[in-house]
Amino acid sequence: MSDIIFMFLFFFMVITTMRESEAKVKFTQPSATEYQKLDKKNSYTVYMGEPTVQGAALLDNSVSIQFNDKLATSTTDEGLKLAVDEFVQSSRDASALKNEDPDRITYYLKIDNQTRMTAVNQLKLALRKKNALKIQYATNKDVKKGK
Amino acid sequence: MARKAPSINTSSSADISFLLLTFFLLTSNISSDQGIMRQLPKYSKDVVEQEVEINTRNILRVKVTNKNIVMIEGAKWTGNNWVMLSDNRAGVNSSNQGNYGGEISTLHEIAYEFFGNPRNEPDLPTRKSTPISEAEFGDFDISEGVVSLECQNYATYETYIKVHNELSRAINILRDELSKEKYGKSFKVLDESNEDADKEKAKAIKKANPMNISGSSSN
Repeated sequence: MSDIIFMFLFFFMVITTMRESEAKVKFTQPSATEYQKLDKKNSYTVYMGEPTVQGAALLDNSVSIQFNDKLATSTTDEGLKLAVDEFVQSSRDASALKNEDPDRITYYLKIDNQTRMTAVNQLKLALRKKNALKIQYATNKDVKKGK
Repeated sequence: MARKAPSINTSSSADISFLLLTFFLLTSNISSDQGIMRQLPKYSKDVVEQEVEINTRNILRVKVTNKNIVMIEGAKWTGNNWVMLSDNRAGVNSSNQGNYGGEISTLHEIAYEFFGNPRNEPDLPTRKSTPISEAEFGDFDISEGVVSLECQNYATYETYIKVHNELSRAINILRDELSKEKYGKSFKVLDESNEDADKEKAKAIKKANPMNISGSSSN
């Protein structure tokens, strides 16, 4: 009896990945059929959606941006630039610490379906300015069409 | 008299492992993180878009409007021939002049025709013979087509991703066809293989069928 439970236990211990960041924004991802798997070891997440906590700075259409686990507190071009600078820099440091290549970081963008493209483009431009070019748009697997 | 082997009371270990089990059950998320990969173009300060002379037949303009209608224009889809795609037919009003081409999920057919150009039609992109060193692939006529993707401010992210998905789909079909013809295996198998030889082959096929999206190009 306890052997079986132990086996279950090890199974879950092995597959568990602790969540490093908790989303503080609500978002529904779009679906896609042509997705690729995310390389989790060397990726850092940006969320964009309606905030669920108080005190978040709002972009256009009341969405806000969260970098890893920090909500952006300013949405002016200057403030966003600072936040992205800090995010990219800390990602690169963390990546170097894990013996990964900081130039091959994937920036994983979890963005809500209904976000307007102005906000998305603002983020993309800020990332480009920081030379953070490898991105991946988070999507759900489209079950209807399959692959 | 045989001595009894001392035994340890193990009844509590089951309880403990039960507790641990429930803990890991609750904290684990069998997460499957996936998405569409894109490479952003480098940022340059002088945004004087270097108007590189691109042959008009090599450009496919895809524009997502504020009402989430996708408009497509290219050398083949010009004049009265340009195509309008929308998931919401009601949003396409009669004052728009283009042809209603169906839902956005049909975009991959147009992109496939554009990137593929199998019959070398004069209003579809040119092909340029380029040597591919990976996996001793040899020379291949790589399509010089570029998709220019543009979004108006109020377009939603959902539509934008749909367009990206369709473009990827077209390229993946082309890559798959080439892969099957050349190596007899589907591209997905090669790409996800752990063998170096297969990875090289996948690289060669990616090079032969590049995804050129201006605004964001992909690997």
